[in-house]
Amino acid sequence: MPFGMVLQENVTENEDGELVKKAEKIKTREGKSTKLAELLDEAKSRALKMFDERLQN
Amino acid sequence: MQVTADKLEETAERMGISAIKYFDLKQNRVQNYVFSFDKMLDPKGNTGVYLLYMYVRVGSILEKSSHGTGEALAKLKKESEGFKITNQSEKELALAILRLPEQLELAVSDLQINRVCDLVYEIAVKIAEFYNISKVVGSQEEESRVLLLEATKKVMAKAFDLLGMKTIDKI
Repeated sequence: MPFGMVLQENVTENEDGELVKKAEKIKTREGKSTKLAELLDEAKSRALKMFDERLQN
Repeated sequence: MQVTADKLEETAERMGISAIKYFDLKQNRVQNYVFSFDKMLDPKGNTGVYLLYMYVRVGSILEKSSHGTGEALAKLKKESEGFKITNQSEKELALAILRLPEQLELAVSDLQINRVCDLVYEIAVKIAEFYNISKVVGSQEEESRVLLLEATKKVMAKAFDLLGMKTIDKI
């Protein structure tokens, strides 16, 4: 794999049913890649979730 | 230090987007980039969220000190003879913040903006060490340490600005 590539972490299950994290190429045609707008929304909602969790504790 | 309910949305947005920018810019351009939401928004480790947390912490110590804000701080800056190094944690923090100009030059000459990220992270780590050892409010060195923290806050704010990150006052 050439260097300087943008990869994403995918979690897959192996034969023994264990979850394995693997860095793979982002393939836009498969539609699994994240869109920028989604990324920004997700960042905000995760930050809000962090605050929520703290308030509950 | 905690964000109030009316500011939750705004703070979450500033923090979330700043964390993404930081994660992006801290990458070394000759290595692979592994995209991971969890790593981007991790409150611990070398992440934007952690850095903003340390920034808020510095601000909160300054607020607690009677010399740390407003006119009292302006007066202290004007009349003080500067800060004195009395222990290792102060020395290391001071050395870290002094390295901003040098790291900026290197970022430009080597086309590696991640150097600025690495420096802010180092500053955050030094703040944590300083915080563990050096009492500020009520200590004999209070005035001197207020000056050091004020300088630290300014350097962090400058670095965040250069990285396109927005700062927050409460977290």
